Amino acid sequence: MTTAQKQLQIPGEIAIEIRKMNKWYGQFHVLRDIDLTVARGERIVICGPSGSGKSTMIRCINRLEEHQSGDIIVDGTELTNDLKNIDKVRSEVGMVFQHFNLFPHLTILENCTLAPIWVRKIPKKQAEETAMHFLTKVKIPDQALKYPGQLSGGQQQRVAIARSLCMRPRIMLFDEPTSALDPEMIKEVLDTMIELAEEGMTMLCVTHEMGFAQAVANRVVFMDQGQIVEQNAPKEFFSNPQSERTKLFLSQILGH
Amino acid sequence: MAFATSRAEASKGGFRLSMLIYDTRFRAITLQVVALILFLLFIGWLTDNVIRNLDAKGKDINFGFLWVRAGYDIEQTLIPYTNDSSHGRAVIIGLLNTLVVAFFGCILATVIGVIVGVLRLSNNWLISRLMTIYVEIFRNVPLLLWILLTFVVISETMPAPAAFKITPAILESRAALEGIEAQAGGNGFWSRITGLQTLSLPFFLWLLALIGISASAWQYARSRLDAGKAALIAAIPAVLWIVAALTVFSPSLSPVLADSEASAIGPTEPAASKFFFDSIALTNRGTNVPAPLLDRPLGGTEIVSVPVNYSVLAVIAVIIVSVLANRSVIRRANKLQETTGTRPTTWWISLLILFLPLILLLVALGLHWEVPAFPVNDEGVSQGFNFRGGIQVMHSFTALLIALSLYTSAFIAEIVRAGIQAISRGQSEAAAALGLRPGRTMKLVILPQALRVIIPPLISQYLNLTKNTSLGIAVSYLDLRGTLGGITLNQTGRELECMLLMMLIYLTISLIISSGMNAFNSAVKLKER
Amino acid sequence: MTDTSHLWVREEMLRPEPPPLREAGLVKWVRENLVSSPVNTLLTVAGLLVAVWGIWTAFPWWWHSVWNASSLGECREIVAAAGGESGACWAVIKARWHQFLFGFYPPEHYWRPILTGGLLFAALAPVLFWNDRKSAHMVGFAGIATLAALYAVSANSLAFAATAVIFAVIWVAASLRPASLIWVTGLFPFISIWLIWGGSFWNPVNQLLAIALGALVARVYYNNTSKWLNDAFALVIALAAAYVASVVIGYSDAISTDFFGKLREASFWQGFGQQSDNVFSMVFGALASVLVMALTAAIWLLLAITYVFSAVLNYNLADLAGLIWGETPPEWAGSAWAGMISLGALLAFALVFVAARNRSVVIGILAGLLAGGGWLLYQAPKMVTYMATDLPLTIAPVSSNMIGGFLLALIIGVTAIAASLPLGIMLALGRRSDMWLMKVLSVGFIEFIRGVPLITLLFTASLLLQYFLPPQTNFDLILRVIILAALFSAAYLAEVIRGGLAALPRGQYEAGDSLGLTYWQAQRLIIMPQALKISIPGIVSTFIGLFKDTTLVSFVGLLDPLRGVTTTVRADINWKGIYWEPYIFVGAIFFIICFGMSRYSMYLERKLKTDHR
Ligand SMILES: Nc1ncnc2c1ncn2[C@@H]1O[C@H](COP(=O)(O)OP(=O)(O)OP(=O)(O)O)[C@@H](O)[C@H]1O
Ligand SMILES: [Mg+2]
Repeated sequence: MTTAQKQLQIPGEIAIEIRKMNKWYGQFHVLRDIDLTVARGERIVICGPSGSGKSTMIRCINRLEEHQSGDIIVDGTELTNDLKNIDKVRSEVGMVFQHFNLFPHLTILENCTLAPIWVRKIPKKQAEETAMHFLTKVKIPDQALKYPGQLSGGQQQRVAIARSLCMRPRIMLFDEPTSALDPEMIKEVLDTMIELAEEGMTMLCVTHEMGFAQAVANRVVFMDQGQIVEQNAPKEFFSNPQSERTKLFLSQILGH
Repeated sequence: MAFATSRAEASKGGFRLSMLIYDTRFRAITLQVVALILFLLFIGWLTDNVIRNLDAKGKDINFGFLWVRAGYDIEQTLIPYTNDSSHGRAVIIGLLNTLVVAFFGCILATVIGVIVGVLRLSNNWLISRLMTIYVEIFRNVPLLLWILLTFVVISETMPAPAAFKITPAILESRAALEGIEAQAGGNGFWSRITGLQTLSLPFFLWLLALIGISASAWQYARSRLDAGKAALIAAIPAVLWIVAALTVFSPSLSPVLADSEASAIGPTEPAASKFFFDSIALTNRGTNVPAPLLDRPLGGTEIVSVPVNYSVLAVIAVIIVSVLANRSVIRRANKLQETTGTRPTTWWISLLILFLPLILLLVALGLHWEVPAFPVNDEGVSQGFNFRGGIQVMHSFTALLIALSLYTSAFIAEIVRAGIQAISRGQSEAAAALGLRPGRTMKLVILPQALRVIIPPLISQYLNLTKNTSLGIAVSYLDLRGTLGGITLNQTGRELECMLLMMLIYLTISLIISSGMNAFNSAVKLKER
Repeated sequence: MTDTSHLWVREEMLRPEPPPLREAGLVKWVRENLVSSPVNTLLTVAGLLVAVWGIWTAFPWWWHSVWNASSLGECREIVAAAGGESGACWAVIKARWHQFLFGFYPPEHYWRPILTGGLLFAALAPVLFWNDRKSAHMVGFAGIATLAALYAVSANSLAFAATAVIFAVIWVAASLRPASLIWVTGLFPFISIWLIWGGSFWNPVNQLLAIALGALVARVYYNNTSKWLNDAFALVIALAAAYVASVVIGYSDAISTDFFGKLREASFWQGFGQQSDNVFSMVFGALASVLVMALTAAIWLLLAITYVFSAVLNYNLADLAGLIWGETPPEWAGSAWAGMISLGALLAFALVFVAARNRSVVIGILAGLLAGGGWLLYQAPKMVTYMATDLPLTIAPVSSNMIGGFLLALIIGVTAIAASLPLGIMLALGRRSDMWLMKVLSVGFIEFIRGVPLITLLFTASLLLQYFLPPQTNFDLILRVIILAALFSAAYLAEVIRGGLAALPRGQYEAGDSLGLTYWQAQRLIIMPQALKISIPGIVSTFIGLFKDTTLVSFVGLLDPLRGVTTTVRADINWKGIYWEPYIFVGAIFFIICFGMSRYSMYLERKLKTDHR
């Protein structure tokens, strides 16, 4: 597959660099020689068939999973076994999960202020102001005192985004943020993400929302069997896929 | 590039001490090594203290006392024991006593607990309330209170053995009463009816039962027949019940005629009487129950001074063989069902296989019951001071057994209730929609799932019950705690040895039970896949 | 599709109608709840039989209750005079209620436990109701109840006034700001110990000072922003760690010296094998010997390795010492353990220094403990004697063996419950830890405690603890019992909490990680609040079990309400032969407390659920 890989022009400062990264689950080789460079402000969409290792890769970037060989450098900090580096990276990188993972025992506001207060050590008042700012931005400031269980799925996911933003991250990771949602809720979450993209946030997004990819992404990365098979600008990627696997995948996903 | 320097510094900087704490590869190891050192030091500190304390007291650690003459008596023993036996044997006696209470306690508690738990779920308002009261009362009051109360009540309210005796005075009164009754024209059916004490508790209860039985029968019949026939059918049990009452319970419903002549006569019955077909006597000294005796026992032998009874072995062997045979019958039935689709009726074969060999064996051995009784002389007057024959069960045992089973049954009831409730209503509806009959639904759908929820906590209740037998000390029941941790400890002064040994034994019992539980859990889990 | 001949549209909606008579009211209720089927009818009758029988037999006994009599005999006479066959003799409770409640606590000091009890409610209020307004109501209620109780025991006016003032202050504070009640909760342990056991008021003051000092130290360490201060701090605490390490290793020197020799002297395996005529004894003896030897060997192995290591180090150290001090090296340089002591101290210093510079939470806690403990050990006694000469705020001391009845049950129950929760949490975390050793130790501890009856642990407290502690250590039996009871329920709690932890989805941990929270932060802020909430029923029933089990302390000679006091009362010549009344009285109090606890847990579950779901 190496022949078809097209090196893209990478402008500006580098946000994430992954080099020759490999990961195994026991005997199972999940990620194979991943090479990926993300520039600051770049918006990348990762897609690929189920089980291809998209989640695993994105989770390696904030060390929710440990890689076994190769380098991952996030925002100038290499992810090694050093706990301090890990903590640093995690506080710089926000993550949004498929199942929201809000803290059900805390109100929306508390969900958003928890990490700033305890990790960033920001005074409570200030943290609350920041939280309200971002909640307003995701258009649910009036729900601040409710509990996650009282919100709809789409609202919950927007809270999850706001919660990450409250840490003022420089990079955002999204792992299928819309795949647990009903169709009418998907739009409100995607709108939030598009807005975020327009502000210049560096984003890595695992999603099968091809419309979103076309509208927002600088680059689409296609993965299969633990490898990056193809990456390209969205227009090229959809109109002129290079590898057979990509074609097959696209035909399945766009076919109906 | 900006990251290059930090990267080189971080990964290729060689070993630094701070990596022991802040590197994920070493952190766990460091912490564990520190913990291990502290732990071993702690153990070493304990050991050192023990050594120095023993030294200061001039003692050593020596289990030799286990082979020394115990010198105390134990009232209730399963295997032979005298005060000449060794402490070690006393320990075994105690252990057996613990196990006996635990065994019977578990059975009783399960039976009561399952009944109460199921009834608590019944849609009968009264019954479910009563069961709730039962559960709440027993759960929320200390076990020790139940043990003490049961013990005190049975040993202080029960009559002395002498109250069961037939004295010459009683015989005289009986003769006198016969005379009166003969004058009054016999003690026919009619006199019993006229003698009914309508304002007494027994009568009221009897009446209530009568109404209940006929109402229930009417309701049952009414669902199939028209009103007139139903009434007729409902009358049958009512009449039977009346007849039974007037013949069998008549003494309590219509006691001795209350006229002046009769009241002048002294009591015609002993102050106390045995119950359960005149076979069990509750006295203030203990409970006298019938003893099983064999006419043609198989004999026995001793292995390492533990007696082995061949007759008992034979009974156990026959039971095991019957159970195995029954299993193979059921398996064959299952196979037949799988191949042909129809299931042969097996229940009567099962019954036969399970019970017939045992009955035959017992008949062959000549089993009969020796009922406790006072010896009587020619006139029928009781002799002696206490019951002869049968087995006298100590009150400490009875009280412990009753209290333990009632207390534990309250917890078991809750477990059973929760287990059944955990199976959603959807399950039984789904089974019904598939056309399974309610009985089959229970057996094939509800029970397998409910048991999976019920059995683990149930076993931990058994564990609790077993450990709680150690409260027997409150009523001087000589179990493991009473012998090894009580009298033996006090006599020998070897606290360390006795306590350690006792904990070891309890721990072993617990581990055996809980490994049984784990085996069950993993078996169930396997099936889940 | 086009055929609309079936089309029918309702123009007017039907009005609801009442159900037929047999479907409503009492009739319906009886039909559905009592006689819905033949079996149900039978069950109803059976239930009625039991209920009627129970009421019929018990009613006369309750009806003829006697409240005023001086002995059981008198009771019976009164009942007989009233024409009853049997009657309850509550006079015994009236005569002895103070013993059931307080044991042999001096009657003139009853106000102290009563005030403590009242304060307990005030202290519990914030825990039970968080920051509700209900807290203030609870305080007000507790105050009134306390005053009433004080009146009942005819306490002196000073106690009255003091109680009234204290509760008034607390009530006002609680009404203004419910959260301020947490201060009462914090102060309660110290005040209550002082109130119950008496002694100088400066004791609790000092304990509080020690805590304040510890908290201050930890706070300053954790929150200061000066790099210089942080380094200084790290240096100090690392030096302390080095000192502790050298002392501990020095102690293991004492242990290791002729360890086997000492063991042989204590003859751990005598008595086995002597009676080799007996198969059982031989097997048993062999097993026990192997066990003891394995343990000994493990300890000794560690010591031996460190010893050898130390000796090697020492060889160089002696050279070094020779270099520095010339002919006469200092005393410690000659010890075989000197190398290990210095290496251990150095290592402890380095590790603690590194951790401390990074503001580790554990180090903060350790520093606080060290400061507070140091104050208590070295400064507090001096201050107490000093202050006591000028301002002796002393109340009469009461010794432990006078405490009994429900007072004792509550002391043991409440303290052990409070202590067992954090312990149980730690054990549960240990059991779920990735670290093998922590897991093994936790599992071992939990299974051991759960495998033996509480009685044997209580006996350990009264008989065995003296063997395992340094010679001549002796401390209060009640405290020993509390420690063992707390360990006991901690093991059960650990299992309950483990269940709660297992029920949490992995996403919660991951969300915490991705936000950059540390392990302990995630546990405290995210995991535990949820896990504990899930396990509330189990936790409360463990507490109830523990409270009921406080009755077992009678077996080690403490005066519990059930066996201790009731037996004393029943042994009194006046009340010989009485049994229902004292047991019913004691049982009823236990029932009220335990039932209340279980109802409260249901309330809590409901409250926490409606909050957000
Ligand atoms: N903890 C684990 N242990 C072992 N194997 C795992 C683990 N997590 C994931 N895997 C395996 O690794 C592979 C990649 O998983 P991953 O979750 O990254 O896939 P994915 O591309 O995100 O798929 P999806 O689109 O379904 O989310 C899968 O085959 C999965 O079975
Ligand atoms: Mg995925």
